[in-house]
Amino acid sequence: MQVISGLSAQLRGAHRAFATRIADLNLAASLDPKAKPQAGDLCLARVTRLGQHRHIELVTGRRAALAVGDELILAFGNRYASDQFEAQIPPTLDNCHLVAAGGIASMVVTRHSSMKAATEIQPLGILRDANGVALNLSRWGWPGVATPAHAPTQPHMILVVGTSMNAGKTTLCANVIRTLRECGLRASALKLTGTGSGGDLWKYQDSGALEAMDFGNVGLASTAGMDIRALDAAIGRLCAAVSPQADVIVAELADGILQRETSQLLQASNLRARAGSILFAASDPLGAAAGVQLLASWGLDVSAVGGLMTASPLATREFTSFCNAPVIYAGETTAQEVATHLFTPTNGQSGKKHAAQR
Amino acid sequence: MLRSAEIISLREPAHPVPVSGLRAHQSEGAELDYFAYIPRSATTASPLVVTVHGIERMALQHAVRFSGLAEKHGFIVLAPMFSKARLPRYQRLERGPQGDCPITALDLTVYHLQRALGSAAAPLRLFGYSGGAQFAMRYTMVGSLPVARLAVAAPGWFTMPDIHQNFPYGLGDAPMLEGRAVDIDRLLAIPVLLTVGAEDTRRDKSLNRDALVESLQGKTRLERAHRWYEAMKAAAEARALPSNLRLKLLPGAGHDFNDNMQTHGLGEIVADWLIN
Repeated sequence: MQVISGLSAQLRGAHRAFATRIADLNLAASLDPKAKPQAGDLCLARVTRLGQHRHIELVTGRRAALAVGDELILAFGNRYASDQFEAQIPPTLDNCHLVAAGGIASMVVTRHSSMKAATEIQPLGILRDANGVALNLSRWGWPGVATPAHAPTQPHMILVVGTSMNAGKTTLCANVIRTLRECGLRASALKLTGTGSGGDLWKYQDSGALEAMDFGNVGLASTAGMDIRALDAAIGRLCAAVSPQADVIVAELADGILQRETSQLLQASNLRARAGSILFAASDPLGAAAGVQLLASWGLDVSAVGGLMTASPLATREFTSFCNAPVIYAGETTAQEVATHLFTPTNGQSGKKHAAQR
Repeated sequence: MLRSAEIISLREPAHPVPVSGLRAHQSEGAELDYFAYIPRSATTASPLVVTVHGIERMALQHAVRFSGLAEKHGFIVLAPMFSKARLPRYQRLERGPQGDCPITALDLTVYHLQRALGSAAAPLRLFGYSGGAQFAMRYTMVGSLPVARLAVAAPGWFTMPDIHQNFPYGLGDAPMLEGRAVDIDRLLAIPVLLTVGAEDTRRDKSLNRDALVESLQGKTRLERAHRWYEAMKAAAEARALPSNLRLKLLPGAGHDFNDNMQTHGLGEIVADWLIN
């Protein structure tokens, strides 16, 4: 292990990424350039070539412009983003990629055809404390918080899922939060899965959420590829941290319901019992109808459908001609009227009704 | 003396109900859309509290604001939604434009939830806020289902115990009653709690400023509450009945439902009255 004097000054001069926000960097005593990176490990890395990501999101939320030679404090993690990058934690600290603007170091496996090549980075080492132990986000992820299978005092959770990345899930969450606020109710917003980034959390906050938290608050840089029981337990810790002032939880699962972790959580996990109602965000009518039916086959009734599809009155009409699940935010309605569609239980009798072809 | 829920629990064993938490029901029939909160301890014999919104139709807020108290006291919350389209003047017990009757709609809504939970029928524990308080008071006198205990908060105006005024201003007959009697004895026979904010004195457009109401009942909700309280006490005395009516002012409270529930303890007061 190489002990570097002046490490503190080097870290102060680096751009610290949003995904590392919960870490206490005062504990950093050395850099290990030969460590085998693990999910959540903090690293210092240098930009060697600019690609898709030319900005990095700082812990403050500011997007800082990048230049070759800039040093970054990042967290290692997998990425699963069908519209951007698929990436895995590399086995060594050889050159790899900045795969998310929130500050995730990883190795790109595939990329969407619209993406440029990922920004290349040279990891300088994993940060270690004075005892030589790697600084990993899990150290600050409320390890002492219990993970009850069903939090006895949890407010009603509206769970938002969707067809895919960019189906309008976060916008749907934001609209629900606004609706609840107009009804005088306080919502805690949770991003349960995904890749570390502040964008969704800022959007929740801008919509009037009482608080906005994600898996980063419980020590995860990313949830892609995680063991499902560990992920379910992390979600339990996140739910246990919700403010007692919250009237409702609005929670979002990343990606589409066919994605590995999302699918597993919806089919068999404690999250099923936590979710009081489910909203489905779809980008098109067929996706909406298929999603409602697939969720019904998993024993989960959809309370209402929203998402990108609702930007098109014609697409919305196409969906409603086939399926009678309520569509929200598709027209001018009052908050009270919308609210009546947000709380239909997941195990009601509506699944057959919604899934039935007219 | 046993109360109704206890009588039922002696007749039939209470079974846990299969669901808990906040639920929404979207009507496909003659019942109303509604929100319900079912506490984890709920059984088929748990008491049912029906809470009726005002003209802002905040049924969801009623269900949410009573949810913690439902867990604490073990009662089921039913918050029906009298939609503006179906029942624009539900608080006066007027039929809607499609012929819906607010009395029948509430009855069917109660039956719907009771059937869904497997609950036995029992007299209602009824609460109403603002316009919902008007509905609750009038339903108690005119409606179909018996009411065991009543709490009304901040009604904008009242049905006065005056046979010379036509319903809904008084007890006299009116076409909207469709032959139903306005039975003030039903109101006098049960425990009734009237609450109003001590600062609920704004005369905004949500307040009925009809000249007749102002002359008979006063100009603010606070003043009208006092006048109705005195009139009902006198009505009880005239019938040689003990007065079961209590008036409680909420110090510092105005007319905001959420504020009254969160800041001024209205929920606790109502739950104590209806359950204990």
